[in-house]
Amino acid sequence: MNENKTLQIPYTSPDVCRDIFLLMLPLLAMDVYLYGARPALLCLVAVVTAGVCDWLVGLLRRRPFERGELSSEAFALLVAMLMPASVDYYVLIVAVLAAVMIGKEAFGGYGHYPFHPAAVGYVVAAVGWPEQVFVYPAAGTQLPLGSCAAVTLSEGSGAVLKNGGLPAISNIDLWLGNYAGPMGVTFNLVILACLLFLIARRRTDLIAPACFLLACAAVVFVAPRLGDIPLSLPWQYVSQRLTVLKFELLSGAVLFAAVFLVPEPVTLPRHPVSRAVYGLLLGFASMMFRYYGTYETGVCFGLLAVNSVSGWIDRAVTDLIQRKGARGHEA
Amino acid sequence: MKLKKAQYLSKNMEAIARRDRILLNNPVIMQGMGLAPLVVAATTGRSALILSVAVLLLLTPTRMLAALAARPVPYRFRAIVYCGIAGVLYVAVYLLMRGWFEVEQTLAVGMYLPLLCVEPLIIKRYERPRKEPVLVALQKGLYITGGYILILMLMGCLRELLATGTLFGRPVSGVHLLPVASLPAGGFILVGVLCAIWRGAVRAYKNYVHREANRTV
Repeated sequence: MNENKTLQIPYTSPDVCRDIFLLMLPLLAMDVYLYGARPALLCLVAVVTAGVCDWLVGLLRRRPFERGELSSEAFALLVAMLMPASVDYYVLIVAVLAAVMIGKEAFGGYGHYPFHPAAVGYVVAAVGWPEQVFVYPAAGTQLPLGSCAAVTLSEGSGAVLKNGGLPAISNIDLWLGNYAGPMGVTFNLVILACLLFLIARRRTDLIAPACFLLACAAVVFVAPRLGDIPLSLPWQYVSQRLTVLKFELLSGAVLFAAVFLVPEPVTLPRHPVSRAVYGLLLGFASMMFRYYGTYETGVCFGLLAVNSVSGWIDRAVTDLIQRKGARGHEA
Repeated sequence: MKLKKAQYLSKNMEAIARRDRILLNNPVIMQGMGLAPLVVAATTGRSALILSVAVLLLLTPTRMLAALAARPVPYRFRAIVYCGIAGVLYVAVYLLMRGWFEVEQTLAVGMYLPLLCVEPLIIKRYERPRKEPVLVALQKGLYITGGYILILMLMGCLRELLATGTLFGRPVSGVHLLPVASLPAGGFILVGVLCAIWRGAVRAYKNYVHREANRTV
């Protein structure tokens, strides 16, 4: 008898999208507290752009516009949260257009895309405007609603880690998000609270994100990017490795991706073992992009790379398990 | 549209569309051919021009010479004949290009210039077992060349305009609308958008012709 054990997903994708849309609001509230009204306006622009895209696609496909379907708006907010609060409105609009029109609608719309749309949108913006996407205002800077040309911007903690240093951020600031970084990515405590909410509502998977974080942690622990640590065995310089591990996992959108991007139900494999493999591969790919890529935030690039094989991982693991089961029965 | 013309077009639309390699049956838009040089190398108007000249000098002569040379050759070796002829012609084409364009501009196109020798747009005819008359090869070669050059120049100019706000190196606007357009990823996206719009326009035209042909007044 073949065992085809797959997880019965207790939630539907629309439920997840609605919850993610709502969970962006506490992150947005933190942004407004730190940076003023500009983040709220950015998010509004992103949501309106996504809504207009959905309406336009409904017009082109001659389908009614579904008001309650919030997937595009959720992706738009995810893209906005990955951007700095000083980003131009135009850049965000192009990123959301790329996310919704190319990442989602070009592949057949809701539920048919192979790549995470938010990752597509972020990557288009990051590759097109790196001078805007990878510089951030200092936390607590009240930003003007219009152009941020007069605002002092600086590189984030990712750039410091890339150069082999350690960011000068206290533990409290690291957890509360009181440091320069993308809008919704730095508030690690709020992100963990969002994770608890998703777990309580049973709207998320834990296997893939856990394996993703495990793989990231393993790469950082075995090969930390710290100039003070020479090439050494993993049980040497343990305290320094743990310090780097803390910064690497709590910056660069790793935790944000683990909670909001990795467990996306459409791109996630179905089988539990596939999810574990997917998570491990994604963690490794993300860290490789962070270590050796041009851009400091590697998780979205890793997500696109591994999304291209997530279907194959599912099929391969399912075939392997079925063949093992068949051989077991023959024996 | 006049009723007689509409009726003629409607009745023969399939044949007309198949022959029209510039608008209705463009090789890039309808068949996805020639994407590699288009997406990767045609990032500016100048590089698109270099590729266009190369295709103009290479495609039709290759097809005509191969139509002659491949006649006595068994089918299984025809691909080698087509590629070999394209390769030999490429030597002359490359020398001409070096004389007409600056070295840096030619090198900017990179390996996609010599890759034209094995580009399906140029050599795909070898797949059909039926031998091609030389005059038909000339006609079809010119049509396909026209269709491909149109898309090459359109995409090259559009990508340069979107990415750097210039056209053939001359500034047009200070706004960089889509910097990613200069990269292959942006090229693919733009080709996809262009294909969608173009195919939609072709379908709309065909529907218009059928409607005009079926009107009773």
